[in-house]
Amino acid sequence: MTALDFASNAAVRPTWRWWVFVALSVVVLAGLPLVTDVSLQLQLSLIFLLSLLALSMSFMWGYGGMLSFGQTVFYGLGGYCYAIASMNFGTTGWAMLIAVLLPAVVAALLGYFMIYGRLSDIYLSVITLAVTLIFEKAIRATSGPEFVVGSVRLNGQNGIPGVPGLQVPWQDAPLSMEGVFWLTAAAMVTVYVALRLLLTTSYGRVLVGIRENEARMQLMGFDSRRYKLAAFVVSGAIAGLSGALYAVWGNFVAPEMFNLNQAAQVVIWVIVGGRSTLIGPIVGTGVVQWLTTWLGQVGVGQVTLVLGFVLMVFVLAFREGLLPTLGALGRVLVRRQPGDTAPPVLPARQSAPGAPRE
Amino acid sequence: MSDTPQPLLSTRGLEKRFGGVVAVSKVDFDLERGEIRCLIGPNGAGKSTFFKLLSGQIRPSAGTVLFEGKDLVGRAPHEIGRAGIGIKNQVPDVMNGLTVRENLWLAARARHAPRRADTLVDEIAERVSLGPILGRVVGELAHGQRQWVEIALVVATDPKLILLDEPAAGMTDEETVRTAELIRECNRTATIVVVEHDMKFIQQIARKVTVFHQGRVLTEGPFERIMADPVVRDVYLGRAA
Repeated sequence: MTALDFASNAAVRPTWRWWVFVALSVVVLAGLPLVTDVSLQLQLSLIFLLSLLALSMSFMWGYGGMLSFGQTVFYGLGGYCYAIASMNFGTTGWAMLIAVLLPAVVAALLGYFMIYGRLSDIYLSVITLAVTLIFEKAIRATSGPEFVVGSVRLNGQNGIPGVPGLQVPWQDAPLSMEGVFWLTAAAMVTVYVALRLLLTTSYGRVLVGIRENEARMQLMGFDSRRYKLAAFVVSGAIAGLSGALYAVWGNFVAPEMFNLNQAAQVVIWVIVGGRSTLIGPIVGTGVVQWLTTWLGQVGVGQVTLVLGFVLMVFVLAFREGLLPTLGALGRVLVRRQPGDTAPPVLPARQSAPGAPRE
Repeated sequence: MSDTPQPLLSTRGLEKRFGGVVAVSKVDFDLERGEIRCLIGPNGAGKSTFFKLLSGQIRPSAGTVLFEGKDLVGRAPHEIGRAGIGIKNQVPDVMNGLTVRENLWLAARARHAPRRADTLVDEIAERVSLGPILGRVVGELAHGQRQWVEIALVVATDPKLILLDEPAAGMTDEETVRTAELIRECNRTATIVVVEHDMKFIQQIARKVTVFHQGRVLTEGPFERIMADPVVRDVYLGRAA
């Protein structure tokens, strides 16, 4: 175990150190807007809300063993739901709720057909990707004035501008910049902690067992389909929340939320950070987003090309991702202390426990 | 075990064809509660196919498999597990990335509430003598140990019937002896069917043996009688029966 049990992809109960880490993170995140400027807050808020999307994927992939290439289906749906509901009803709280529930319902339907239809995991990736692209095409085709939901025009390619910010009961105006920062940070920490704790429950442990060996778990009497579908729905809801927060953050939704670029980026964040942990995808999102911005600023030009190269390096050299690799390195260094005769070997993970099977 | 006259497991007219090849042909098979039954036969005799039919891993072309009087054909794997059948295939099939303890816990959880599963892990580890390696990751264990972990997983689900396909394959003599002990230990609570090649191993565990040949049951009886049977010898030596 590393000092902070980050690399524990099995359902290990969190240590007190982990709780200290969470508490410190909360304090730092709460205090950050007091000492930083607006542009950094904006950038960090975006990273926080996007890392929810990464979390939703890594929960499915790293723990459920299912690679959904199209988590952006639920992300985009969440965004559009929030936009349409808030502009129609004027109550943003309910809009936020709908933006989480509707993607969960869609995930339940889509997941039911894929998982109960016993499609293999590779088809699940293909189908989710196809579905997100279908949504993108469909939304792009809604530029005519006849495409109206309630009083909101869908606007096709152009997206929906002027989405209202979140209205909180204790304030007259919608959330300020700091408010959005705190909201996205709170959402990220809450979801991270909730998922981490979920994995220590009976449900979470069974889910990890299914990732490790679905056939064996079935022979022992577990109906793996129920567990996988539940994971798919939970992660759909989280992706929906992420999309809704994006709408709150940017006051804008567009078909790009569904597109291939966005879908692929989520995979990159998770691979770079390491899918066998939950903190990894958060770090991965931060690193890649920051890198993207920085590359843009220094004028490299071909940002996508450089990102592709980064991905290749990670897939080839750091197969477990950034965080698990650092964790393993930490273990080696700790064991090399004088007087310790244990050979400094990396854990023999020939079967790459974090990796999805197949 | 109960005294009902009904066999625990029986097949009637069980048949499996792969294209034109009849791998298992019209087999009627009965298994009483509390038995350890060995299925033997030369390569290609159909015993492994028969095993897969019993465990519901392939669908028969014709016939029925009755477990406690209920038809198992076409049931999902988890339903067969829940009905009280524990299955161990030839290759170690375990949760490689998890510890032995977590593996056992999951198996116990399949039948019991989480708290009960916690205490069961230690009971089973003791019963199967896995205590010292409870904390190890299964993927790092030796082949023989992984086989034992898998047998422990099967035992932990509290089955009425255990189906084992060549549990001693690839083991050293010493490991084989221990596996035989383990199987006899399991037999205290469960009926057992073992598919096996190794005669020395069968000698250690079997009372009754069923011999397969060319997809049919050639003969059936106590181990000593079967070994003395000239027809069985001919089959094993490759002569036509």
